[in-house]
Amino acid sequence: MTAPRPGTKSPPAGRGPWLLAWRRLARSRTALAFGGLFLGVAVLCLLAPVYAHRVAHTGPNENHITETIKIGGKNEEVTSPTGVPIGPTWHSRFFLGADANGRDVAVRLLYGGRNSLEIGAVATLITMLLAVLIGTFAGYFGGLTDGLLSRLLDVIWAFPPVLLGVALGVALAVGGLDLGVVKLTSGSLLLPAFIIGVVFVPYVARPLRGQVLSLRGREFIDAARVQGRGHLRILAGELLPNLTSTIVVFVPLMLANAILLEAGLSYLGAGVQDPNPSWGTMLAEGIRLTPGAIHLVLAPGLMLVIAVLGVNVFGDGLRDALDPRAVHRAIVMRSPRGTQPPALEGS
Amino acid sequence: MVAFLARRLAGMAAVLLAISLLTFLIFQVIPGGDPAKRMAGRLATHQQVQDVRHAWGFDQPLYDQYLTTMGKVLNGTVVSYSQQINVEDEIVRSLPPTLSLALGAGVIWLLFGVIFGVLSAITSGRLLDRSLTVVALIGVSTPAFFLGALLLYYLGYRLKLLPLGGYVPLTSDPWGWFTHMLMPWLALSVAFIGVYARVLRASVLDTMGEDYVRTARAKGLSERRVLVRHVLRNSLIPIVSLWGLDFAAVVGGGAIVIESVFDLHGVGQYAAESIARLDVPPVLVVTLLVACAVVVLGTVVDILYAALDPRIRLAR
Repeated sequence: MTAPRPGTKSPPAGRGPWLLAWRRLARSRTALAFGGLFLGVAVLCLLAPVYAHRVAHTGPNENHITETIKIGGKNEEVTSPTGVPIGPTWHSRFFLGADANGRDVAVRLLYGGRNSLEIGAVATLITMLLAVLIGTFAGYFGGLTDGLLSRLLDVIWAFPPVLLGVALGVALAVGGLDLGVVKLTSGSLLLPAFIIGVVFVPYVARPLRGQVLSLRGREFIDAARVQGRGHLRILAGELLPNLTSTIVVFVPLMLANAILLEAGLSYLGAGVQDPNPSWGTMLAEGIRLTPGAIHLVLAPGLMLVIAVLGVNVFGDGLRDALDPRAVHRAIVMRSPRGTQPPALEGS
Repeated sequence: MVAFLARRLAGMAAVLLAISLLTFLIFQVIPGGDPAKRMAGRLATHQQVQDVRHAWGFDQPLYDQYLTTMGKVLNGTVVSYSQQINVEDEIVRSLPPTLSLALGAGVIWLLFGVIFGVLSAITSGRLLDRSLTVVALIGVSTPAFFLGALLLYYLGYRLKLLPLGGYVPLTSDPWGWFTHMLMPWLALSVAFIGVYARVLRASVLDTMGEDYVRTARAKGLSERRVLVRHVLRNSLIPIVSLWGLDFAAVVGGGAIVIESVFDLHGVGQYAAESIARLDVPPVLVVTLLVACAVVVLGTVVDILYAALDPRIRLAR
């Protein structure tokens, strides 16, 4: 989030749209609270090594199948002879129980969260970068460029995201991906991030292209061209600032969707690969073991829902804050007969 | 209208061509993707692999292989590499569960999405709206397979209210079909209900501010009539288009995750299994099916648009 700076040096003429948006956001307590919730989860996950070393005294991939632990004076086996792992002990060791391999679920949950969130963040970054490039170029240059780029988006868009993700995931899981500049090996976490990032590009690029199409014919673009500015400078200096609020609104939305898609792909075996934990792979393991140990489903599932919900509620508040019409809508609703209707959108 | 349809058909052909080429090529370039080696078995000699390669035409140039495969796809005679079963037969077999899933869930999510969205819009800013918003956002934030697993565990295993997955054909046992589909429908619908409720809420609130709504009120129509006849008819437009696309995606195997949690053996599961075996023909056919469904339903939606809103003309 780029916090707009209060215009301290400028004359008190007017308040910029960013400042107004920031104030609207600051006023919506729910959005901030849930944003904070997400940040809290993220910080917890980043502190995974600290928890592992200081509290749980075990790593995310260490097996304790044959060991016993003391809980309230009693000795209990980490994994029963029939293969059922121990449930939550609410003690420092195996706080949330163990999984089928006798690994500490709480430790894995935090490490897995780190992977899930990292993949989500990198995927969002890739989506936004590609979408902004493709959307603005297609919309601004039109013609053949637009035709080619739009067909490319159509092709990606014609697949359901999960199906395309699985296809790419399986195809690339064997040999990795060589992009020339970067080389992604098959076990790399960047591989699912890249796949998820690509899958979501059309969902952002298409609306951006539409917005550029409607901006292209406006006077300020003509003015810039008459001044002799080059295409790239017009794109970066004139068009991009007008797209910022759309882009900002898309970031939390895409982050939430990327985290969810990671879980889905990992569940289907096309995302994060063993032994790397992620919320998706943990859920998959848990579901495979149900009904034996429901805590293996609940722990990663609830953590995932909390994180994604945090992002979604924050994103909702952000959208309201950046879209002045949302406020207008609220006014319209409260006194339906008394206010001016908003202008018809020329679509 | 005719020109519009012709242009759409041409566009569809182009997209299908691109998708089939892309799918075909992806499986050519990936390492370990050589089908002859896998079909000949692990202990095959070099000669045996060569024989398989020759018999299946894998030694032909790529464009030749692509053309023969596509020809077989269009004839309905294409067989899978791994099991050597006719692919189209397999898809016809896996369509009933997927269609059951898509139709049932589609009706549920449309119905509840519209109800929640309208309720949310007409109570905008009040407690009911805020609670519905929270519920919708929780729904959107919950992965369908997590919800499915919870339903299976609590309703199926603990309370023994519903069967634990599997598919029962509608024709052989309608009640069994219904009870088996109930949990998959719920698990799949929840996220969609959340999205639809949010979209419809925004759309209704937008429409409420239009001139013709004020006119309708000014001429003394009841609030209920204004809502149903004037506001809803217009705000349902984005919902119709969303529904068409989402439905197409589910029919084309987009609900893989739900199909595999509840073991429905639908199109998505078939696709996922074929992908895992790097089996090109089934993957090719399923992806073409999805693309067809998406493009056809997209076109139907555009035509519906024009019927719902005379201001929209069928141009691009």
